[in-house]
Amino acid sequence: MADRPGGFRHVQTGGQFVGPGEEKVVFCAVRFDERDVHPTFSLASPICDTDILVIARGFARQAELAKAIEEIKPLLGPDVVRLTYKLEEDWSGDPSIFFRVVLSDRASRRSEILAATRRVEDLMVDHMRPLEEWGLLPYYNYRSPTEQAARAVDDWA
Amino acid sequence: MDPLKLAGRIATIEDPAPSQACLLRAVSTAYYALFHLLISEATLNWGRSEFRSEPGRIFDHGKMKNAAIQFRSALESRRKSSPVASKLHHVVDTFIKLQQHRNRADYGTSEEWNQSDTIEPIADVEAAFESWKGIRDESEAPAFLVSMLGTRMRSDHS
Repeated sequence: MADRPGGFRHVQTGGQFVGPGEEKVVFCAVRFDERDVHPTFSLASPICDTDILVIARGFARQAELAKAIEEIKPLLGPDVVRLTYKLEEDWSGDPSIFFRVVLSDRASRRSEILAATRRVEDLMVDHMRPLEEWGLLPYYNYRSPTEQAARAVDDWA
Repeated sequence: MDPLKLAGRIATIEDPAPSQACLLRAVSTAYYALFHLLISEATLNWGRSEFRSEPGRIFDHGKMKNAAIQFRSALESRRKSSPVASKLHHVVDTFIKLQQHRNRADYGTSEEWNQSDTIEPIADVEAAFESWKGIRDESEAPAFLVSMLGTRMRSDHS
């Protein structure tokens, strides 16, 4: 639910698959004030001002996305100690998935890191197809367990 | 000095405990090494060498990214079967990723970087340079370079 100028909020009311990696989501701008804290509405309701947005499927179906990623994790092998992700827009506003990968200390060595990261990224692209299936540009960040442990806060939890 | 070698040198100059400044500058330099490689390749065939810097200024990071995304999608299905598609996909994919890394490095000032944040992108750019060397004379390579000006991709490459 997103705030909207003029006392309205966007409330997602439905979704429909429209194309590779995209989802048509109907948003209903609902009057939101003290008298109407829990508004009831429908698409036909006169209080609704509907907007139809096409958004990345990965943003609209996050539970399915999470399941798809969980299914890939066992394939990643022992060099991947942990994989988490965050959904966000990238520097130019494109919907993106930021994978945060903790590699083993062995795989994090200068001489090994490229082979290990190419393997991770190839697996994600082959099995998940982030852009084609989910409409998300994939980005990857890597850390070694030593680097991760040195952090005061686990910001990749 | 070659910009990519400079990136590697900045990344390691303070080993084993590089400062944040070195890590950030190294990644930004690696991105610009790839950026300038692609621009110089695109303008290489410009007739008069003294004017090559002028068309080079037309290139825009955002338009280059959009072209790279289009090419990446078009190459996806062929990257396993075609060595040329595989190498070009790697260059394109690395360019998209390095743009984001560079943006983090230049503008995401609150983030704490590790050596891996720098070593991996630089290694990726080094490999992308090698991939480019292997395909720069193939027909799809100049098509990609021209598309980065913001023109539409031709249907025979989609």
